[in-house]
Parts: sequence; C-alpha cells; structure tokens
Amino acid sequence: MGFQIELSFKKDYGNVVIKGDFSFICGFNVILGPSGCGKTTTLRVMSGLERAEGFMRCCEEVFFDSEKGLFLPPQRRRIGIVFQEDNLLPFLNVRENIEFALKKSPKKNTDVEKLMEMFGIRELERKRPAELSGGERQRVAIVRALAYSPRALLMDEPFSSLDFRRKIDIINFLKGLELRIPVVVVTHDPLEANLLGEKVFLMEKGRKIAEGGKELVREYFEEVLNLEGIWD
Amino acid sequence: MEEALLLSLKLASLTTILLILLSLFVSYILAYFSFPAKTFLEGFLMLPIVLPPTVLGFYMIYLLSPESPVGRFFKEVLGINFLFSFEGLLLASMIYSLPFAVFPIRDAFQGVHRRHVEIAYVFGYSRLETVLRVILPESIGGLLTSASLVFAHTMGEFGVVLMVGGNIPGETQTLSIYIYDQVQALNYTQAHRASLTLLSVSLLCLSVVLLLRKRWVFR
Repeated sequence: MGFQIELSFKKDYGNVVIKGDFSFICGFNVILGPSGCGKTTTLRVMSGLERAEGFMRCCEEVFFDSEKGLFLPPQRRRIGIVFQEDNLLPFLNVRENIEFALKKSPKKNTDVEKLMEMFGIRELERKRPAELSGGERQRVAIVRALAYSPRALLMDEPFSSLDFRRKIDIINFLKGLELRIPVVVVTHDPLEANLLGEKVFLMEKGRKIAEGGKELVREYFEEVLNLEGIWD
Repeated sequence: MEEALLLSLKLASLTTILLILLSLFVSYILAYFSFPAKTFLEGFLMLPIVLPPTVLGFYMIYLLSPESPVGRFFKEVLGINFLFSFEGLLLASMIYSLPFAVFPIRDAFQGVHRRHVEIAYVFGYSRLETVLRVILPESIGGLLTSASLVFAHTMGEFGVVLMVGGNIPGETQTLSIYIYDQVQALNYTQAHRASLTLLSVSLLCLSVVLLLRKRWVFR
C-alpha cells in the first residue's frame, strides 16, 4: 500500500525558509517542534491555504506540483482540519456547525449521530460555541472534520488549550476511532507526541531534522520529561 | 402631515435598502482588496460627513440639472429627471448617508475571523458561498448598525433634501421640511405634533433594529 501522503515543499518568506520532505502514513503522524519552527506552515501548505514550491500527492491525486504548475484549491482537496481554537462558526449551533461540513461531504452515510454520541456532544447540539467549554469545542471541531469524510485529517495544536485530563480523554477517543486515513497532528508537546505518534517528525527552525517512531520523542525530550514513570 | 410622514418613511426605507445593497459590494472591495489610491477613495467616500449639506446639495443640483451633461444623459437616455423629484431625493439621500453605510460594514467584514473564512474554503465552500454562508452572517452586527444609522440619518435629513428636492408636498416634502414650514408659518401646534411624531417613529424603528441586533449577534 505504501505511503498515503507524500509532501516535499519549500516556502520562502524572505527572512525565513521553511522546507521538508514528509511521507505520512495511514494512522497517526505527529510533527513535533517548538513554536515558530514551521509546523503550522506545513499544515497550511497541505490544506491548500498557502502555496509553496514542491509537490504533494495524497490518495493517488496530485494536490500541487509547482514544476508542472498544478495547484488544487483547498475546496477540492477534501481534507478535514482542526485548529487550536476558533474552529467553530459562532453564529451556528453545534449541530449546524457539523452540518456545515456534512453538506459538502460526498458521502452522506457518515454516521454523525454515532460520532456525536461517541464524543459526548449529543446533548450540546442546540448550543452555540460561546456556550461550550474549550474541550467541548474541540470535540465538536473533530466531529465536524470527520463528518466531511476527509481523505486526510490535519490537526494544528488541537489539544493545546485543554487541561491534562481532557487532553488524554480526547486523544484516547481519537485512537479508538480506528480511522483509515492519514492523521497529521502538529504539536509542541512531547507527551501528546508520545501518546499519539505512530510516526514522528521533528522540526526545528523551518527544517525537518529527524523522523522515526515514538522512540524519537524519548530520545530528544528525555531531558525535558525525565520524570520517573511518565513513559511507562 | 401624514403625507410628509409617509414620504419620509418611504425615503428612509428605500435609501436604507438600496444603500446597504450597494455598500455590501463597496465594503467588500475595501475590506479585502488593496489597490492604488485606496486611501484616496476612502477619503472621498467620507466626504459627505465633512461637507455641509448645502455644498453637497449645490453640487448635486449643478450635476443633475438638464443643462449639465450628466443631467441630460439621465433625462434623455433613461427618462429620469432627478431635479425636484423623489428620484433625485433618493439619490441625494444615498450619497449623503454613504459613509454611514460603507464604513461600519467594511469594519464588520474586516472583523470576520480569517480562520472562519479558511475553514469554509477547506470544507469545500467557494468564495461566493463563503461570503453568503460565513462573512455575511458573521457581519450581521455591522449590517444592522449601518441600516439603523442610514435610516435615522435619512429621517432627520434636512439641508440636502431642501436643496435637491425643493419643497413639493407629496413629492419631496419630507417631515423635517414640513416641520420647518410650520415653524416659519408660526403654526407651533402643528410643528409640535410633527416633531413628536418624527421623534417617536424614529425611536420605534431604531429600537426594533437594536432588538434584532441583540437577538442575532453572537460572539
């Protein structure tokens, strides 16, 4: 089957250049790095919100190839996205926010009811984003992204605004879903990387500096999280 | 008086509707595009606030009179006579209130969270669909502010209306001019009644808009 997403890009902002070669697998991929290392740019390039040099292939389709002058606009990539915050449209309630994505999904049989049930947001369906807690909002955003039946799911620091307990709950939810698509999670938190990563990429100063399994997280962050028992 | 009141209401409503529609377009361009001389254009659009209504009215008479090429064009090609007619009043009111419509809507458009627009794009919504489904609903507060400002401003308009419309009962005599006439003729009772009517009707209309705003705006 091989790799699901191949990405090789270079984005030149004048004062900074961000570049990297990535092969994302079906399952959880984590891009780990400090703030300003270029991980968010990587997701924006993948979703088509930002143009870059290079190429990207996803599910047998070319998303962009600057040499051939190909660029698929974000509307036609069918990628689900979850940002750190402000994901939901403030004037729509929970259900309407989810239907916002469902309406454009080519597969109408996505079981949204079941997803809402699983993520514990069924009782919130009539509420507006302003009435929800941070954790609830993120869960709604995840369900909305999945309702789109995406070919890949991109998450930009999706758990950063959540407390420790909620973070672990949602991560376990996600892992329990058994998604058959590549999920790319960007984070600066070694703990999240360790919990989620089947494949881990390290980024620093606009470059990918290493890739591997979750042992990579330990290798690089042992000194930060050298708390007894946290890895066991 | 009823005739003048109805005329004022008709003028204020039509001005509001037409001006908001026009401003959606102008404000969108001001909010999302940059082009040369944009600041100059913004300053130009702001002029009706700075100029006395007499200056505005004078230039409009000058432009719209059948002797000027613009006035002749409208009269001969489109068959519209803007001078001392309701159409002229409408056009003058729209220009007079233009900044009150354009700038709150522009600010509302600029205040729309960039992320919400991006989310719409990623979830398959085209540019136009994004305007209709995300940008407009999220700007509803600014739209209502514009609408109430334009409505109120037109209800209370005096100088421009007098200059461009003259003072023709049933055609261009709005309530504010009617009041002026009554005061000039020392009919203080009539002037009182008309003033109180203008005040109450304006307050009522504005309250309705503000109430809607409270219900519709979510943050």
